[in-house]
Amino acid sequence: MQNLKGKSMDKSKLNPHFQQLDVDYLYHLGLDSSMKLKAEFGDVKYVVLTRSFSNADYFANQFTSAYYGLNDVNITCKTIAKDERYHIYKVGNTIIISHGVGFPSMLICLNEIVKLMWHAGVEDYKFIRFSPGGGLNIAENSIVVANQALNQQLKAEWSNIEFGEYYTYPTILDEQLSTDLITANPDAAIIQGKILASSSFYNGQARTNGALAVNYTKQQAHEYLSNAYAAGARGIDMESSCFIAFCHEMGIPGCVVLAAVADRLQGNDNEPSLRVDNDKLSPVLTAAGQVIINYILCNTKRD
Amino acid sequence: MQINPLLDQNPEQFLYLFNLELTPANLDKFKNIRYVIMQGSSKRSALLAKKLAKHVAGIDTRFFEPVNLVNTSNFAVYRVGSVLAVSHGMGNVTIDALLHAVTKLLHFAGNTQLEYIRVGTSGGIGIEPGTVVVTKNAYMPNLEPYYTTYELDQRVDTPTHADLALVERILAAQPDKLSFPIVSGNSVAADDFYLGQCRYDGAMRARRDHDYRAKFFEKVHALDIRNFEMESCALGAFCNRAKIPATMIAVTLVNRFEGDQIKSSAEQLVEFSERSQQVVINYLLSRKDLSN
Repeated sequence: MQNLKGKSMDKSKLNPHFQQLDVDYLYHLGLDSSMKLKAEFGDVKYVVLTRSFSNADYFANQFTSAYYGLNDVNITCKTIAKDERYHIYKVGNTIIISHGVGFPSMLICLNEIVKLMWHAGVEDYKFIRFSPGGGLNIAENSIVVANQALNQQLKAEWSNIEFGEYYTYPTILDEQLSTDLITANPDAAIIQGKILASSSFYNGQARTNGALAVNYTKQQAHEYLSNAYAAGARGIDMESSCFIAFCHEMGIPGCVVLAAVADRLQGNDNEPSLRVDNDKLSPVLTAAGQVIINYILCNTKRD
Repeated sequence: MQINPLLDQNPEQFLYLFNLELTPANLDKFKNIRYVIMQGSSKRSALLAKKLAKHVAGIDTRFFEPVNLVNTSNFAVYRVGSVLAVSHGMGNVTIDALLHAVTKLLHFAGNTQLEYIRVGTSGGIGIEPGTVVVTKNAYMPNLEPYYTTYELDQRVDTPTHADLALVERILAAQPDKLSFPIVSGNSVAADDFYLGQCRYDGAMRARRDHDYRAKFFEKVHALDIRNFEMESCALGAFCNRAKIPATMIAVTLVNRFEGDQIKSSAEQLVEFSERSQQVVINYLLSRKDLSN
């Protein structure tokens, strides 16, 4: 089998405090360290994170069909643990989890998954996050693979307030995982670029059709998005700067697969519908999921 | 209520975040709304809708399930009388998205007089777990009383204070013999549940020791801050700009002076979260415009 290469996480970055607790409650996952986490999660190699409950539900079924070669059977995977905050699935060597909208919700998920992996005795794993997002000067329904993110000032940084003070983290990851993902998908038209990450869907992403009045013109918004493109951004979302900063800080190999549902430089404030027939994802999200599946399958040893 | 004037220049056909066609038939479902009650999870919103159906409309809830009026799994929207019970997920970013979407929808449906109340859970600062806090002002975790966002590449700091008249009405609507403590106070909304709320039990290392935190918590307490949660800043900032009266009612699940982890039993957590719902129901039942 081809490369199982890539670095594993930097254990010196892991907070020792939670490791010493009698019982560590992963409150938002609905798991705790008194459960048989090694038996249930000890074989995990990949964690696939996506935004919405329905994306995770759909991808879990798509992944399971591909992983076990169930071509003619309709299956519905069941979530594990609590399903109120996140939908969690474990299929083969992969955890699939929805992280909610925006980086604060995702950051809880990242923290508790890393704690879960430690309790399960897993040291070598990769994070791949995928979701719909906006595109910048790329065709609608393109797939962007990214190992870098920009904040709203177009810097490769993410800031966090910890114990009352701001700290800044770099948002650039080793490109190995992105490269491997692209290598595993020779037939897919994948665009490599950076993701512009904002904390507000409307006014933070230069839209002019939010509920609040904006203090910029449509022309200024277009110029800003053009500047983001010139800085290397090809996609826009609300999570990637935090995701990449967290992976970098913890030394976890990671990358982002973004399904661009609109080209914001063509003036689309309103993206098209993401769900067709209620439960089916849009074709570009299914294709983005397939890119991840192809990568995991060609890096997974099977008996 | 003050809405983006550009919205009426380009009427929209489709509301992306709710995956909802803005047809007359769909907009009709959102006419004559007065109150929007926001909670983190869709399950809690559905539960509140059921309780309201019982209290407001006298419906036998054994035979009633509220219908989600939007087509996304990120948010749920239920309606009972003039009340919308909606869910927003966790954090300032997701509640900001929800606030824009629901406000646009209610504007397109012709509503002009609205109150927004978030009902949730939180970590208490120096108060007994189970105490309900009604928020007067929201602070960022660096103890600044505004919410920082960026519009294009410009930093924007928006005041986050709640509508104090609404806070008073909520407190005045509570019965004398309420079976749990309720206080008004300030809140901190952190984007990082772990380090942002000064926890030591996250995946990342804390850079400050317990002595530092004890002094920081004293400063927090001196600012009349009684709880930490994750949404009050975005709520306060949005509603100040939109001129919509708003506040937050949040029960505390832990006393952060005593520890980081939420260890209460599932039953106790459910009972605690019922308390903040009870406070908002008491308020809503004191109003004269619940059914229309």
